[in-house]
Amino acid sequence: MEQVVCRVSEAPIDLARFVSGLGAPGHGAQNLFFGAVRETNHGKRVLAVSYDAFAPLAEATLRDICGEAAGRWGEDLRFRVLHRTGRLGVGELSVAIGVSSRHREESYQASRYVIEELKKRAPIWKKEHYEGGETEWLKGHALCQGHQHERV
Amino acid sequence: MIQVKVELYGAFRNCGWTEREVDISLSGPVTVAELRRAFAERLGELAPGFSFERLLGDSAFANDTRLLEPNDRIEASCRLAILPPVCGG
Repeated sequence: MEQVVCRVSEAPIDLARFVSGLGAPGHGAQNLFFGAVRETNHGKRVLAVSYDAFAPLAEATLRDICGEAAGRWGEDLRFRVLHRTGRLGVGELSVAIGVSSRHREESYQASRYVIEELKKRAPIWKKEHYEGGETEWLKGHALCQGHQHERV
Repeated sequence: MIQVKVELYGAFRNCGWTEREVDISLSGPVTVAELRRAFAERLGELAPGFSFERLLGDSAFANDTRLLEPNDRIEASCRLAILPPVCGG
């Protein structure tokens, strides 16, 4: 099995398939994190969230992040990262992160690193759909923070 | 002549332009900084009611494998993306 698998897809997350193949014989820990659509945000009732992604770069960025985590917590760590696109209802899983490691500490740390970096670096966006028909693209992290470009 | 297709993502999809990309014709090679100006001009024509100056200022150009720096050069026709601030998860 591949050591790092990162996918951005419209397909629902198949939990059985996601977990199978994550571990390794020498690994005694598998850490799973799931992100789901929440029914409220900043006091507004959320009916659904639409996820948009620039998939090729998003997957490349996720692989980079997993590689960084392996560099910090163990080159033998194994990763599965799936992120949904499209419109998701409340409670649906938007992201799944699986990390397998020899001991639990590394997989906890690496999993936390992956989700925090994903939120800051992966070219993925979400638009919330509120009660009453209003929608809003959520504000996030600018990818060009180190760039010196003129405002036009 | 160089043709650059810029794919729109996130909040740029709400600009009012019905397509998911903007075509830009350039007379020759340009830097990404110059492409940014040409993109702003073209988007202003295509989506006149869309206030995008601040959004564009916080956005990065990218190809399939990496973010582009302002001094990177576009030497041939290609497909790029404009990436507003991200918020996955």
